[in-house]
Amino acid sequence: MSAAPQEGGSGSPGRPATAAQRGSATRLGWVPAFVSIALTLAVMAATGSAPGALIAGIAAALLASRGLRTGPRSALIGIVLAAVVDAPFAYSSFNLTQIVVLAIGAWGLVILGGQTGQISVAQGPFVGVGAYTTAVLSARFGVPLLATIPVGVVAGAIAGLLIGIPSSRLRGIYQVITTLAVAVSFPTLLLAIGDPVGGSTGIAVPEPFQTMQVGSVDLDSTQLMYFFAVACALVVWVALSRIIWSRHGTAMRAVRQNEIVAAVNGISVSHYRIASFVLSAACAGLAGSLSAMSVGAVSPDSFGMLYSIQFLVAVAVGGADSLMGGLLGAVAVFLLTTSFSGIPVGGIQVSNEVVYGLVIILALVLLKGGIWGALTGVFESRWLKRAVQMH
Amino acid sequence: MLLLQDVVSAFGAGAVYALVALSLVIVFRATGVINFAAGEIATFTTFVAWELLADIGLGFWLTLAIVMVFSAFVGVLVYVFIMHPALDKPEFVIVMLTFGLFELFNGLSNTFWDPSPRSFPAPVEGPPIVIGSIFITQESIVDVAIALLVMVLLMAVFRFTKLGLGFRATTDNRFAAEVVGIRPWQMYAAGWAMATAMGGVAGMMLANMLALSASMMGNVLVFALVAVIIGGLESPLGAVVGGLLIAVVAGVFSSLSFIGTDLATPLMLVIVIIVLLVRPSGLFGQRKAGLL
Amino acid sequence: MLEIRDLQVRYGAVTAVQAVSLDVAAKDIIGLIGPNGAGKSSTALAVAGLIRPSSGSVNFDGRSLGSLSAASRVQAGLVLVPQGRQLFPSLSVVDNLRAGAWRLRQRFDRSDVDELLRDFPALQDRLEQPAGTLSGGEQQMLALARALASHPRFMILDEPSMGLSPIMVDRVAEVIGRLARERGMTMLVIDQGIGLVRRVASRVLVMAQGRIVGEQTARELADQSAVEAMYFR
Repeated sequence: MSAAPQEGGSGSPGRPATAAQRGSATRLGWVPAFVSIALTLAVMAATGSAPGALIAGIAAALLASRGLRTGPRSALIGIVLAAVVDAPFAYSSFNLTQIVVLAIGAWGLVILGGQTGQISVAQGPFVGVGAYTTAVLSARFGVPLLATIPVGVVAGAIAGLLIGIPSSRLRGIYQVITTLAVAVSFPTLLLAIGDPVGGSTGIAVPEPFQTMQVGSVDLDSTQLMYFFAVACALVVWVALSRIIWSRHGTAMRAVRQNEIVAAVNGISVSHYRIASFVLSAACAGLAGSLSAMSVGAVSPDSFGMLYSIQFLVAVAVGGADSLMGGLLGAVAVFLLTTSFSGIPVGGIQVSNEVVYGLVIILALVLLKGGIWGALTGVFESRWLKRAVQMH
Repeated sequence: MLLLQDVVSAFGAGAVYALVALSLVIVFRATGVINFAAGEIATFTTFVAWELLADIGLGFWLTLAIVMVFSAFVGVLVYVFIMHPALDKPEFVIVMLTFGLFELFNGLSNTFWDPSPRSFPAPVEGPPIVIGSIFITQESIVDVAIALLVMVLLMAVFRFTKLGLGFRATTDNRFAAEVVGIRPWQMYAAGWAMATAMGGVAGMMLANMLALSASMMGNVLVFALVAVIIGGLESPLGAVVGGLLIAVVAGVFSSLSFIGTDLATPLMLVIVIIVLLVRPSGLFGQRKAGLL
Repeated sequence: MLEIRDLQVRYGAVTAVQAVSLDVAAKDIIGLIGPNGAGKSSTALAVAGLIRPSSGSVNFDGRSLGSLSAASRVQAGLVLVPQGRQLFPSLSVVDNLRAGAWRLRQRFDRSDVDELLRDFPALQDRLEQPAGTLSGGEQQMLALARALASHPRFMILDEPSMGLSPIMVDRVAEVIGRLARERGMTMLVIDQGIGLVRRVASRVLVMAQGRIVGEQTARELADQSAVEAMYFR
């Protein structure tokens, strides 16, 4: 598993380790993660204590990575996974699933923005395409929910291609305005199509999972949905990381850095710009399918401009240059938009959008590279730095 | 004849789009930023106008004047405290800042007022004027007149005042402006002030035409952006013409039965994409070199 | 009138101006020449307040300019005619002049324009023409006129002969001379070669690699080789 480069999407990897070092680290590098997940779940099943399980998982990750000498990165991965696996026992799985959905959509923008330097306000509609695909197929045609997911991904990809071909030819503010127009038009379009997509009331989606018993623990449908979403997210993370670190990733970052130089070096600029739109929209499609499954319904207004802005805010606040940044941003956006409806200041109930807006502004003005950029930069933690750098 | 009615009826909306588009152009010429929050700031100032009109009971024209001054003040604050410190940051950051402002002002409107629609007092009362078989509401005449007045005022400021000269000079050659003793940030702040004031007027007109609600500017913003794209980002004339054009086309589309109001916006979008692909800098803009 | 002491200007790690000191007495014209990259323009920009020096002091009329803004310096009577003219290309000639007078309290009207353009007859026929469409020589004249519009007492001219034909350079020299004689203008004229400077300045300083490396009076300038030796030190 790897994290994307830190600086401006075009950072160079750290000094390469020798083949022998790299080999041993990679082979064993997964072990701390497995150990930590296993121990977290085991302690949870045995004691039913979520904090206890988390501590056990973190300890397992640190000890295993130290014992096997697999380095800080494998420990960090183990810690993160322990937290991810432990979370549904301490918090609402429904909310956590929404965060995962936001994260996957945000990762699409990490590819589109962090790698190729484009700005798209159309991520909301792309998620909507995936969500509606799942909803229509399962509710109207009886297709099993899990089977609708690949279709949702493909539908997203196709939408990404259709919008991406013209949009990728535009630069800067023109691209923003055009994709914004797409986002504003999407709900209207759905309403115009009318009954086949449920009109203004939308479509209800059947329950994806039934309660399961594992050991002495009951996993209800929201928790199962969460674990399923996490599994999908892991697949996406690995796939995107592979792409980011491949020569395609280098090509994309070259396109972001300087199109003319990239073209001169034989990189097809338009190819990569369109491809990143497609990839980004495919991620959105997946997120949409998962969203439809977990929320249980789709409706036109959910996938317009404001929703698109949530993904943009996630990468802006969390950090557009890395998948970790996208994840942190997704958490931040969820906390800011859905988890509360306002804070009382003086005698006035201040709406949460005010806080949302202020946080966006402050994060952009004060932090360079979002929260993740600030954490890895400001804290100057060697451990953290080695954890996020590629060998 | 029906077509002519659509065209005439669209002038009211066109005036609103033109004003918002004009405010976007001014801000862009000054600071190179598209203010995506323009609509939400206008909505906020229009709620303030409602307070003055409905709660305190001031007259329409006095309220208009006060709101223009208040909006200008808000524009200066936004520029000085948020945009000015961020002008050297990458484009993505600046775009996101305006989205942040969007949420902030939307939130402010929601905090102090009930977001659901309420009626907004009109500048005049009275029956529509009929010419031949065309109906023209008195309100829309006044609205268009106000918009025209504001635009003429703006032109006058640019051509005849020292401030206008300073603004034109600074946007023409910033370094030379400094050489000559102009302080660029003051010109940019003035630009934001003028733009926000125009937005405030547009907001009052829109509230008059539709109803005052926290989300009233949603579609208007998109139409204004489209108008700006078609007219060219730096051209005030293009913005005005673009705004009127969009309104008329949207109005005609809406009344054509096979399109209807629902498809008007997506159709606009397709037109915009086509325009941008054919002429990337809009109909009035200047050609700039770039990769396709 | 102008005293510069140990001026140092840095752009990041690069020091463009090392430790420049020079004096310009009232109603005098001092020349400053040197090859490309010598730091002449940086000195001019620092004196005009358009960039901040890293150390050193600039005194104008006995008062330290400190961190006074460019706008305030224009108000105090110190103005720069920048390298490359830096006009407002889409503004008309008249508007360029108006912009030059921006810091003045008084209204700027037609009579001021006529007064200003007394020395620049060629521009009088082109009042409404956009500045960007003027010829090189006309643009230089406009740049000078624009600077005059603020009623300065001290003018810094940065490479006024750049890109001009020898005839135009003559005209510029003529105008500079007249400004000094008729309006008592104090000037610091910066240029790459000595051609123009030699004709108007009472003293010429030579700058190379950020430092003043030599000084010649007008008379001594007749001896080219001495100057060349300093250029290439």
